[in-house]
Amino acid sequence: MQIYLPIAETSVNIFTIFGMGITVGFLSGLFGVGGGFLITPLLMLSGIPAAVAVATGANQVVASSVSGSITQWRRGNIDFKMGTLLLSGGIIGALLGVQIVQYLARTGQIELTISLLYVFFLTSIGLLMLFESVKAWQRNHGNTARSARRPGQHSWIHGLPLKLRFQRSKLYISAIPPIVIGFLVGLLSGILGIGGGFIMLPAMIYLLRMPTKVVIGTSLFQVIFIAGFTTVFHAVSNYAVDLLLAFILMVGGVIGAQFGANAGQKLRGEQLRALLALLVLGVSLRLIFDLMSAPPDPFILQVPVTG
Amino acid sequence: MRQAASKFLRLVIFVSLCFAGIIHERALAQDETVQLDTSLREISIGSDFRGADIVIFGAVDDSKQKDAEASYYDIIVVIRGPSETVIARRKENHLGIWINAESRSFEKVPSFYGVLSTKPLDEIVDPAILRRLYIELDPTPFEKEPLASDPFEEALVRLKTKQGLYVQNPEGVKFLSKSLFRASLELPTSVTEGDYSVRIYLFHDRELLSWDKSIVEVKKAGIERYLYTLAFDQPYAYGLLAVTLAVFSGLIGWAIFGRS
Repeated sequence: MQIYLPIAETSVNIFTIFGMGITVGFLSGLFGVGGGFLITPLLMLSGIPAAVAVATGANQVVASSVSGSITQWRRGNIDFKMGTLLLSGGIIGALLGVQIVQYLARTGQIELTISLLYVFFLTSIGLLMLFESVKAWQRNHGNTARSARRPGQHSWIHGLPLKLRFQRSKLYISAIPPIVIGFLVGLLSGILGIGGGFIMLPAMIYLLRMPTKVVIGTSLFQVIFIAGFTTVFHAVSNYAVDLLLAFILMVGGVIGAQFGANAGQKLRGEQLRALLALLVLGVSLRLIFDLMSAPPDPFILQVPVTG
Repeated sequence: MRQAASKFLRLVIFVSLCFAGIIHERALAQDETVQLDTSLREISIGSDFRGADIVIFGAVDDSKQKDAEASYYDIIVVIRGPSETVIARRKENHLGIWINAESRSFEKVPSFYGVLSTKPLDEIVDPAILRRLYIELDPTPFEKEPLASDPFEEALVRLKTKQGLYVQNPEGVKFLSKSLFRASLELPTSVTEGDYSVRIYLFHDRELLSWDKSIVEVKKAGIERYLYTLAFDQPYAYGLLAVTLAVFSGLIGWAIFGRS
C-alpha cells in the first residue's frame, strides 16, 4: 500500500517503512542500541531525501530513547548531573550540525557527505563488533586466558580545571571533557540523525571512566534531549521532519523493541552481535556500491526548499 | 454645388455602411469560438495520492466541419504548472565516487508542462507566429545562442520528461463529434502544489481563430495539508509536535511492553 509523505513529497510503501521500524526496533531491543545509525541510511536507500532521512531519524531516536530511559531510571542507572553536562555541550553541537546539513543541502553535497560519513562509521563499528564477537566466541570455546587489564586510574583528564563531583558515577572530574564529548556527539547527531550511543558509550567508559552500570542510562537520558533538539532545529532550519514517516517508524519501532527484548533473553550474545555486525557491514557495502556505481543519468535535478 | 457635395457624402456613408454590414456578416459567419472545461477543477494530494488524470473537454461553437474525422480544425492544449527554481547538477567521477560537480540554476521554470495537439505542432502553425501570439510551446524559453546547445538545459528537459512532468503528445487531442473534442493528461505523484493553467487554441489553415483558458488547482488535502502547512508556517510548533509525539510513543511503548 502506497502512502504519500507530506514533507518528503514522495510515495512510499507503508509496509516497507513499517517493517523497517520493526526491524530497527527489534535490534534496539536486542542490543540496547538506539537504532538511529540504521534508520537514516535505510531511509536514504529507500529513496527518501537525505535531509528528511536525517531529521526524521532523529525524531524516531527520541521515541526509542524515552522508553529505554524510563527503564534505566527506575533501576537508578542515570547520572542526571553528568547527563545535563553532556547535553549542554550536545545542544550546541547539534545546532552546528543542523547548520552544516543546511549548507550541504544548498551546495548539493549532502547525499555524498552523509553517505561517506555513514560508510566510515558503519564500517568501523561493524568491523569492531565482528572482531569482538569472534574474540568472545574464541574465549568461550578455546578458554583463552582473559586479560584483566584495568585501565590506569589517572590520566591527563584529571589535570583539567573546573572539577565537579558526580555522586552517582562516583567521580570527581573536570566539567570540560563531558562538555567536549557532548558537543562532538551532538554534532554527529545533527549531521547524521543518530543518538550517538556508539560513540558516547566508549567515550564514557574509557575517557570519563564512568562505571558501566550508569553508562547506558545516562547516555540514553541525554540522547532524548539531543535528538529532541536536533529534531526541532531540523524542523526550523531545513523543514525536513516528516511526521507521517516518523510516526510509522515509531509504531514499528515500539513493537519491534518488544520482540527484540524477548528474543535477547533467549539467544546467544556473541552470535547475535556477529549478526548485527554483518548487517551493519551490509548497509555500509550497499552505500559504497551506490556511491561507486554509475548514475542512470549524469545529471540530477533539485528544487531548493524555501520557507 | 453644396447640395451635390452633401448628396455624394450621403452616398459614401451609405456604401460604407453596406460594406460594413457585409464585413460584419462575414465576420459573424466565421466567428467560431472554442470553450473548455476540465474533468476536475481541484486535485487533492492526500495520503492515497498516486497521481491524477485530468480530462479536458472542449467544444467549437458554430463548427464548420462535417464530422469528427474531417480534421478541419487543429487544436493545441497547453497546461502549465506553477513556476519553480530548479538546480541541475552534473555528476562526475572522482576517485571512483560519483559526486555532484558543476551546477546551473534555472529560475521560474514550469514545474509541469504539457502540450497536447491534434497533429504535430509544425503542421498546425509556424512557431514564429505562436511566439508572436505569446503561446509558448517550449518549457524553457530562455535566450539561446543559435546552434549552441546547453547540456544543463537539455538535462532539465530530459529529466523532467522522464519524470512525466514535461509531456508532449501530438495526438493527444481527439475530436469526438463535429464540435466536441477531448484530451487527457496524466499528472504524476511528484507534481507541485499550485494553480495549473489550461489553455486551448483553435486553429484553421494556420490561423488562430479562438482560444479559452481555465485553471485546475492542485493542493495537498487532509492530514498532508495540515502537516505541510504547519511545517512551513510554524516550524517551531511543528518541531515541538514531532518531539511530543515521539515522547508519547516512547512512553506508550514503555507502558505496554517495557514494564517487565
